[in-house]
Amino acid sequence: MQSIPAISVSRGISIAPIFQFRNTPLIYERRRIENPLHEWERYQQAVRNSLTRLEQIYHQAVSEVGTDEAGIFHAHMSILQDPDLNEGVKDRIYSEKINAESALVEVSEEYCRMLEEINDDYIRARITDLRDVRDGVLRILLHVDDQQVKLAAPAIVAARELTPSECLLLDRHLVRGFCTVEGGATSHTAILSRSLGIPAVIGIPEHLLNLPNGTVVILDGYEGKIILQPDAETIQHYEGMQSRKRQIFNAALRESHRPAVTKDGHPVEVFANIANDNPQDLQEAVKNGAEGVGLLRTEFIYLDCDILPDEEVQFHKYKTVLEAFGNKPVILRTLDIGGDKQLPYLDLPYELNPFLGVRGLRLCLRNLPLFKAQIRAALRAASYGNLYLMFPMVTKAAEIHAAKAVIAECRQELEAEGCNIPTRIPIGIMIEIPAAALMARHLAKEVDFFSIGTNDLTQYTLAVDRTNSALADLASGFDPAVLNLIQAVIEGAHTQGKKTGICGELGGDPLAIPLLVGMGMDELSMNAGEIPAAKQIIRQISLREAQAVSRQALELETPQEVMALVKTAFPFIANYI
Amino acid sequence: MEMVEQQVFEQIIAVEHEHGLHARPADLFVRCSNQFSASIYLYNLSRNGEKKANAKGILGVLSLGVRKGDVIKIVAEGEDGAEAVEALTALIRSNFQE
Repeated sequence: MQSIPAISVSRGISIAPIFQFRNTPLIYERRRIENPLHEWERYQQAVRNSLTRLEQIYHQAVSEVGTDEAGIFHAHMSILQDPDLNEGVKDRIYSEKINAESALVEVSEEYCRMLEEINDDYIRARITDLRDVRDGVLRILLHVDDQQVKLAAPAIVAARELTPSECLLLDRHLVRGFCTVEGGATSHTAILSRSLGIPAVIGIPEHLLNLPNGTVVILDGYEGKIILQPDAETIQHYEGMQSRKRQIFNAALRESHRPAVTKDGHPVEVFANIANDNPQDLQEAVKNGAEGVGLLRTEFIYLDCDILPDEEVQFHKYKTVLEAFGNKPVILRTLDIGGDKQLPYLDLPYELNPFLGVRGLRLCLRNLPLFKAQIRAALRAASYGNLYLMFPMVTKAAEIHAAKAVIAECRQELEAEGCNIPTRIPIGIMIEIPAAALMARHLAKEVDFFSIGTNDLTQYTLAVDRTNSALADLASGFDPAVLNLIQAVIEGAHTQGKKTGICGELGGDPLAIPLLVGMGMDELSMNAGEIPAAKQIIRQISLREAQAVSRQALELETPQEVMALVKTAFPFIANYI
Repeated sequence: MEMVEQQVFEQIIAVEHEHGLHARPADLFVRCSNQFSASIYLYNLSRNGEKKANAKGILGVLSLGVRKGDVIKIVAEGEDGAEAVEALTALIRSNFQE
């Protein structure tokens, strides 16, 4: 038995024989021709035939995978009709008097090189498209039949790389998985496999392409690996896992719209962390049962741009997110830049210790025009949903006063401009700095809510740089020191009748959920994919048990002890890990 | 011979679509450009402002690497140039009809 690591791009488990997908090599010579006009006509005819073929594939794709996924073949038709590409081929046929095959390959490779210079996953996928389109024309020029891949039985398809049209040639009822040498998380194989719910991994080593057809392997799309020559025991293990995961996930998803209430009737709000305004991601969060957005990471807007995004750009993005969630709360965190996240166009001074430097709210209060553009955009968008505002990296009450003054100023300006802003917009802060955690009961008087950012709270409490891989084993949110601070924050907020949420990685960790609930956390915010399981876990525990376990956890010494305690107290949670 | 001065129309606008001018938006943009007889060119002012691409070809448009938030310049020369610029601007403003 041998386990081969790969990169997971679509979750799931598959146990099936391998099917090697090989392209028929397209062989041609670069040869001189006598009659360029004839060659150019031969090329144009091939393009026309290829277009007809693409139209057929497009219609097939629409009925099999839907209009959205089929759109790629529309893009293929556009490439095929590109005037610059075809003029380029014509020029080359005439000027160099070479055959159409060579002219097409040379011109298209020039475009590939040009596109490769743009370092972007989408563009990389388009390069694959261009080569796919080109090969379609070459096949016609060379009279090579379209490859007919007939899967006789269920199989895991292995290939160097699969083009979208190749994916569609496969009978998807028989495809149990994809594994490719090349590709990326946004390649078509990855997107298609996710939309079809087929497990897939990429980055497999070259030598797997030499495995004979029919070799049974296990594709683990959770961990990202391929297991060769699995023994009976391993197969049994994975089969068991396969059916368990399926049952557990389906059960959780079916219940995802119901609120999460413990066995003894204690409700906990479950929110989503959102890092973009992609409608599909927003819909997925709602579908998975998000009762709101616990953290809208607005830095995504800034990090995606090469120049500073203005108020208008931001307004549209905030509006999109707010509208997607209707009357559910959306907690917008103002720009959190600095530390490990830098904006090239801001040209900020070099800092020796950026994690302890001018970041988050500190940075915004020192760059008022930047801060005001964001606050104005947020306030203008507020009437499209249920907006909450939250500031990151707060140490002291004075910073909260200053930030509130900026909000008041922006509100006044906008109202003078005739803008209609909801009268009450709740204001909260992130608790990430130990000083703020220790003073929580005082800071709670200044705000409407807290949200604990456990990633930063962990690094500041333990003095462990979270980007330093040498210290990775020390940086655990399960560390009792961190848990004791979290407990203090929740108690501090509750003495003032304010709510506390959590939006760090810990919030969606199945093992952390009973501890957080036991400590009195009012709201958990996590990646959308983690929500159904988190809600199920909450429903299977009682507040009383959770309180007892979290009290014990606070007395322990190491994160390992804490995790072991939760596993023993709630053995069922192992199913969700 | 009398020189005919071609009229040039320009518009500068930010692209707000999630995919910039890549996947489907690029496709729609090229399709729209092809409805006009004017010559239409595109520049990405947020990246390499010097580079000029033919707005009627998908490869040229893609080669500008327009991402969300990027500011582009549309230049049209010819009889229906004004309409072309107007239609392309409206397409971008509508966030590609989404």
